[in-house]
Amino acid sequence: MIHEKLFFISNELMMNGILLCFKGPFSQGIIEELGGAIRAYISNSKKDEASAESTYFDVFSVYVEQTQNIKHYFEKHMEIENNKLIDYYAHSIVVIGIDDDNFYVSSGNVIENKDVPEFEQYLTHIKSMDKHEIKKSYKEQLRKKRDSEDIGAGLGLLEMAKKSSMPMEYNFIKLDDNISFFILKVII
Amino acid sequence: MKNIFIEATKSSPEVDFNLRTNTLKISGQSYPENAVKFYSPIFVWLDDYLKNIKEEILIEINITYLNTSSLKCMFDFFEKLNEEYQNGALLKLHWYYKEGNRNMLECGEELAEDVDFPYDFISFK
Repeated sequence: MIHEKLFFISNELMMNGILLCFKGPFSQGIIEELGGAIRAYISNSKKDEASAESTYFDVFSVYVEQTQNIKHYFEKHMEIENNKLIDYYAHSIVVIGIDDDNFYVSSGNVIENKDVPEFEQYLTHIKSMDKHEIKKSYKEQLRKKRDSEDIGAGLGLLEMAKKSSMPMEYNFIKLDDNISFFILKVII
Repeated sequence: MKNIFIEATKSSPEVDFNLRTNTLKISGQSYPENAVKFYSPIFVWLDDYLKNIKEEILIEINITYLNTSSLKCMFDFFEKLNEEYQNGALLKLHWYYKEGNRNMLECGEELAEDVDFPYDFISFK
């Protein structure tokens, strides 16, 4: 029965420290509105206004980078058959949770298998760097000549690595011959 | 040349250029759907203005949040401004940030690193 399943899902989310979540295709409007909900939650949960403001900006920043990366990925992959593209995009998910007093932002999205090796290599490389090297790489990436209209996830991932209190966690789950599901978790 | 005014949205800043005061103000949050599409026309317009006007332009930036796409656009923009400055254009920039907003101060400092034109940091409560 749907109401039992919904209770189960909601409970599972709560038990995993998840405060807010959205599953579906991210439009700019949804990204904005959910951002507003994050702000409201954090300012209500922290006693000190200054610390709430600072936490909010870090969480919000990571959340925007993750959701916009997913959005841009699908915008760049319009060559995928339309009905498949819609299905894949609808599989996207973002959650904002709390783990031992630290906020985290985690997202998941379908990604084409051919994109996995390069992406995985980049993430492994970032994971191997210390804060100093990340900052240096960030400065270099900012100054790199832009590839035509490429918005790119490069700078965004480095920004998240700068803000995370622990190394980023990620996983690629192969779904079939064409696609995998990519998961990223950033703890602030 | 006419004044420019772009209303702020939830994810894009207000852009206000006043010909009479030669001041360009950019204020609000910046995480538009496509930062390049949002900022290019403004920067192209300003670049053109700088080439034709001999008076000093004041650029006031008061942005509370910049996503990385916007930061990249700003960086490219400052690079162009610097070129114009080195070619004789008169300009100065004020970077505003709220006291305690370390992120925005850092963004401003990062952007200031490679420029030669007058650049001031102004904090407010």
